[in-house]
Amino acid sequence: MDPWDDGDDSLLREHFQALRADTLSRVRPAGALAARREYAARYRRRLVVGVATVALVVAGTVGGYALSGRPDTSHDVTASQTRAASPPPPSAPAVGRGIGGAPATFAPTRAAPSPSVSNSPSDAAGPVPPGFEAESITFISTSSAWALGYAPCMSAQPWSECPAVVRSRDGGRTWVGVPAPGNAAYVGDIRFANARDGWVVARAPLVAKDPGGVSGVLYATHDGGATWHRVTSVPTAVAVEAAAGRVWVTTGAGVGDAHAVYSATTGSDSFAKVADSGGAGLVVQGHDAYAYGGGNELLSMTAGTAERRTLPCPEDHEAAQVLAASDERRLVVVCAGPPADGASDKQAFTSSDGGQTWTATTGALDPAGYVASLAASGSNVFLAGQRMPVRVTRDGGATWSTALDTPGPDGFSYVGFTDADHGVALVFGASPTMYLTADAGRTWTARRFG
Amino acid sequence: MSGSFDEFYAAHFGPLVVQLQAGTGDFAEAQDVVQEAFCRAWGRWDRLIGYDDPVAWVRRVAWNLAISRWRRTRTALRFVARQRVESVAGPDPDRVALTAALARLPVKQRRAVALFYLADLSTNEIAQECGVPESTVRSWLHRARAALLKDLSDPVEEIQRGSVG
Repeated sequence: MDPWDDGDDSLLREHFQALRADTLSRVRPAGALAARREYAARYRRRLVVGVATVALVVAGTVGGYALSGRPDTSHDVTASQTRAASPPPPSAPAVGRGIGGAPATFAPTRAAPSPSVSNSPSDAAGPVPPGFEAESITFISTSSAWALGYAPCMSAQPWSECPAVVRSRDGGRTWVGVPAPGNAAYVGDIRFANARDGWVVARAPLVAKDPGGVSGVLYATHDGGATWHRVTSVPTAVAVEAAAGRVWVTTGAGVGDAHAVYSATTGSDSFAKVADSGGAGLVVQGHDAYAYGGGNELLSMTAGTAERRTLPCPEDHEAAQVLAASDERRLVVVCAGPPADGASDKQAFTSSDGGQTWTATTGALDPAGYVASLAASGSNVFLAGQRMPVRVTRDGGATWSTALDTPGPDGFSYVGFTDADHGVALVFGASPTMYLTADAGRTWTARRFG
Repeated sequence: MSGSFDEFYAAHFGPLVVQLQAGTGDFAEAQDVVQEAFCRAWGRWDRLIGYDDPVAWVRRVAWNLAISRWRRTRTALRFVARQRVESVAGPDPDRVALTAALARLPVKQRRAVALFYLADLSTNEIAQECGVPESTVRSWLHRARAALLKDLSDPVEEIQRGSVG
């Protein structure tokens, strides 16, 4: 094949051979793992952007899906189930987060608090996996919490990141690793109703082509997270919330998929369909549950009945709402307009009758950032999102101020409150750090998992 | 799957850096683009492992990255400046002479030469890789070889020139 064959070619070959040996002696590969992680990190970012775009287009505003996006919310304290064992928190605040419905498929949600009992189940605790980054967090009391995330796999797997669950019994100060459901890492949410019953929604694989990836899978535990099993009575789960002895799941993971709400009692894996819904966003407050996220459709469910109501978002602001409930009747929604240059117009509305009528709030919301999560706690409402600080209004939306400045450019993916004083915020994009408050969001403390 | 990827990476990272270093004249740049190419390969690894020659895909991506970076940043110019410094240090006159000579070749000729001598591709394979007729590759190689031999025949002059710079 040589284009020439004179003896000079052997001289060149010698030179190249020397060059090869010299260069090889200096090569310091960054490593295959680094390549895989970089790809995973990049895919995650792309996912966020993609989801946000979808959401916006579809809906309007964003809700921030932060990372991945999506909806959900909830929780609260309350009740029934919880009561039995231990002292539920006095007031039950609620949290909401939501998403707009977008069908986007994945959105992550991050945490939601839920109240409840705490005793100790038997978990096979170990150290927090090195490199753990949280996607979603849930508190069942001010002391007892779980977080779902992922970390580089500790053993050889066909995928690079594995799902991980960590738990804390001291309000988030210290964490231990506990068993996690699934194979390859996924974007999803974790919720616990009490110390025994918990759920994980795996919305979509963290890395699209991972062979172990799953989408729309619901896992449940009834032994405090020691063992997990797949729940088969719910198709394509997107969001899960639990309160008052019931667990609620919205379905319809794919873009354009129809959405529905399923529900079961917390100790059961027998989910029954409640109703079709416009979107996969979910807020649960006590015995009431709300599904939203498809335009201005709001589905209100309570005591076995479902009613269709309407959100007040203006045109162009209805694709990316975030909804929260401060009690069973009082709702807050933030509607966001199309995103542009890191900003989207935001308008807040409140309802005191479960969403039948809405009132626009008077305070102006800074357009910077894309909303991701909304939490209503007592008389305070907290709004978190990408590329924005956590903002709060303590006067029903007349004025908004910064509650927690963003530590970097990314902003926050989730804010949730366990009671009127105790809350948590997660940095947008999976992060090894969370922010905790014990004084209704006036001061926050950064804590690392692990 | 990551196991086969890791083995693939371990087997081909070094040789690809050698080729890209010859092509770019910039060792750090070569490592960067090869790493980036492997990163992208992981994103489609399930499909790549079905190819007869997945390394060809990675190599093509790495070269495309290197060439597009050149165009943006004129790495070739920086390379010449840096090479002079290395020449002064003079660790290995032969290697320096070759890399300095490579730096003076047009990019396309450099790529063809690196693929021919370092990736051990045939002129036909190089033609496919570069998307040109095989006769063009032969022409590039012929001219490149002549230029390299001329430069290599007088490495002393090269070093002197370098020290001046």
